Amino acid sequence: MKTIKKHGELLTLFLFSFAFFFIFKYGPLYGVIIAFKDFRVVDGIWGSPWVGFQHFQELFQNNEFYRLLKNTLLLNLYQLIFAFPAPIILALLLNEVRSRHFQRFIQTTMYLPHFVSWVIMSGLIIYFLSPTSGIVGEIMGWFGLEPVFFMGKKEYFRSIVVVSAILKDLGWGSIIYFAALSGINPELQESAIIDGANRWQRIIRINIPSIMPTVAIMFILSLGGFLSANFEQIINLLNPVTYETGDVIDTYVYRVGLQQFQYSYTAAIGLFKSVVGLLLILGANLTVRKLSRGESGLW
Amino acid sequence: MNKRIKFVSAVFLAVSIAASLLTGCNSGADTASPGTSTGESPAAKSKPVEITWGIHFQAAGVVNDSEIQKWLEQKFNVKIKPVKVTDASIASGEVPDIFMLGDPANVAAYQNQGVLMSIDPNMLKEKMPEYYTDIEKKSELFQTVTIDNKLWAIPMFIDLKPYDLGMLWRKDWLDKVGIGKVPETLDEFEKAVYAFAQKDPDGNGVKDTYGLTGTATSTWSSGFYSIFGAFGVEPTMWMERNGQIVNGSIMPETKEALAKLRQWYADGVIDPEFITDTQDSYRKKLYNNRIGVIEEQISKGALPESSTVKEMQALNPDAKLVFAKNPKGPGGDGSWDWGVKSNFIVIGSKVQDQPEKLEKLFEILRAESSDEETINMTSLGVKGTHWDFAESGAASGATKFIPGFEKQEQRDQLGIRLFSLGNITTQAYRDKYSNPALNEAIKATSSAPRWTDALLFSSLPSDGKYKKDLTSLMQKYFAQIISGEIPLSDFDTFVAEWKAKGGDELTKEANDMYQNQFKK
Repeated sequence: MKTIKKHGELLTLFLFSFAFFFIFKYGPLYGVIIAFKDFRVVDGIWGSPWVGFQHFQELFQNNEFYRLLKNTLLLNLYQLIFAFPAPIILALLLNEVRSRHFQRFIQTTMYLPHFVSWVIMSGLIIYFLSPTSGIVGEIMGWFGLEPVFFMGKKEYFRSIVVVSAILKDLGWGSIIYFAALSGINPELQESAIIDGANRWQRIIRINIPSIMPTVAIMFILSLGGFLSANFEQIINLLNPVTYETGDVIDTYVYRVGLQQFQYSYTAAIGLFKSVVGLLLILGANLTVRKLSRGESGLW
Repeated sequence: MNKRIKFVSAVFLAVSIAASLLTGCNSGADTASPGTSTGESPAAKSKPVEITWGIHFQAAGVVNDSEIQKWLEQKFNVKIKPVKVTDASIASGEVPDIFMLGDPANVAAYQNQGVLMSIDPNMLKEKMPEYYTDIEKKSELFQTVTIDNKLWAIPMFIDLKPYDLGMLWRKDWLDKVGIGKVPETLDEFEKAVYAFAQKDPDGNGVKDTYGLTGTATSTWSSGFYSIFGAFGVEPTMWMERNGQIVNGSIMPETKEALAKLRQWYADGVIDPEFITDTQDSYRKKLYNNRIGVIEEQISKGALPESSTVKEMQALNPDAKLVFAKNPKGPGGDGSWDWGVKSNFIVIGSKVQDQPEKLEKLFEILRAESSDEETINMTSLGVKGTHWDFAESGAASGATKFIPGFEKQEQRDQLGIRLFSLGNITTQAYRDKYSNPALNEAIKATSSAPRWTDALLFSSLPSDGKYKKDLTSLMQKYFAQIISGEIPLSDFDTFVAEWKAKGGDELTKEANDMYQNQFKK
């Protein structure tokens, strides 16, 4: 009782976050059991009959599934290679800009696209990439190149997704690295300058190592969504010609699941994704801890 | 210290109050429903029946206690709770007492979830005699929503369809390239679109025009409906050939149509952006001097006051438009045709234990079918305030909305449309309230009733498993064949793949259904 009184404030604060996670995160987990049932609205979650792993078997036996899995994995791999480092590089570069005003201006303008919805963004992208009226085709024309119909070629789809994702969320994603950079002790920089280190050396020796723990955490977190893709982005960019390279698990779930009441099947796909995501997070965390000798990582 | 404890206990108090409020809400809702459903009140007319009503599915959202809702409540002695029906709301078990669905596939999906009540056809006949005499002539519609020998929805029909497609041409372009007669045959059509692409119809000296574009991203088919129609097929539609049901995606005529489109594409007649274009974007292209002809709904393009024509005038005053029939090819003329089906009214499964409520629902349904006052109130609003006949002083014919209520969203705020059931109205009402000019235009330009889906868009047992994937497969191949990315001979590969990926199974089911339910 005494300890409860002593830590009353902390406990109160904890209570709120506990309630949040319990009500919104752990409570709904109960519904996951419909992945092992044949869910019918009228029977409810508990009343629907158990079917074991039937939905998972159906999923793994579906030929489409492997194409979807491949597309999803490739897309995420590209995202990880190109889109993940982009905000880090931006933050490092902007950090070196001397004029504070200029720095703030760039930062603010680069946040803007994050607040534009993907529906509008995709419309703009399709318009920009139009071979006859788009600005990209126009610019290619200046250099004597034939305009390419980017949206109508399946081999460009993944690049368009990755590049547009970078364009949209580059500024927003860099916020956290900015915060990490501003937390670096200025004495480190000063002593490095006295020791005669140039800009480049300071970035390599001071800035990057200092934000490495943040980078590691962001990396682990991003792996959790490795089997997900940005549904809103892809569904708006996808067209029949690009299905082959652009159709991902999420768009498939939308097409066959939500539009046709196949709740159990869809839940099974979701559960599969979550399990893979969890394994990836655990694996990445372990690796990061090993590499940093226990100094960084989520736990 | 004292203060601190006070603060903490205050927070606890707040949390516990919030919690009890939350639980209170839940238990309140639980106890409310049985009380109203059993209708314990002895007074015969005093206690209104409570009806949960799924608002018109095209309406964006619920408007509570609107003018029209109050009017209905007053007239029928009911209490209406308007709700927006979504798949998610159904999944959580909240099934309205009455709502509308767009096509038989939806009805089948909802029925499969066990949320619908089966309807006794004799009851329809008895409770809604006016509606029944009309729908009897289209009795095949009942077959589309009959599952396990029971009827699951009240079908509605429409025969003069304002949304049938015809061709909307740039008349000024036709004149410019020296074509005096609006194209009627596929050959004339071809000449015109080639001229549009090659003879600089907008006169700017730059080759920046195309004949036409398409909508490869449509959710149900392939676009270019009138061109496929000229060859006598429509992709994805089930079509009858010598008593057998075959799918329009894989027929030999489909290949011929593709060969034609492919040629046009290669010659620069089809806009390469047909892959990403939508109906919205191709209208814009027509306004902006990029293409010279589009497929347009008759109600939107045939009359001087039609929306596309008006918008064109506003954006491009020099342009002239002319509306015409679909081009006639080796297979006749035709376009996508939804047939005589309209939407479907369904009743929630819980109503079957509440005869009093069912009685009430049928009373309202009958009024929405044949009582002019009720129909007008739910679909148009108050005469003189919200709408009037287009011709001043007239007592029948086309209607128009009065300024301030011209936009659908403005009317939704008052509840107009939310409780309207559309085409449940009798033929007599439709004759009185329709626009004769539009009816004439439909009769003159629509290719209907030439064909429609041989199963009237009924849902096959394995549709859920295969249909969407087969449609995407078709769209993918067709887009690539038209754009020349793969050779025309790959059509045969497509047919084999289509059959193997569930098409054969669906074809068998389609034939079974046709033999059992639709063959005359």
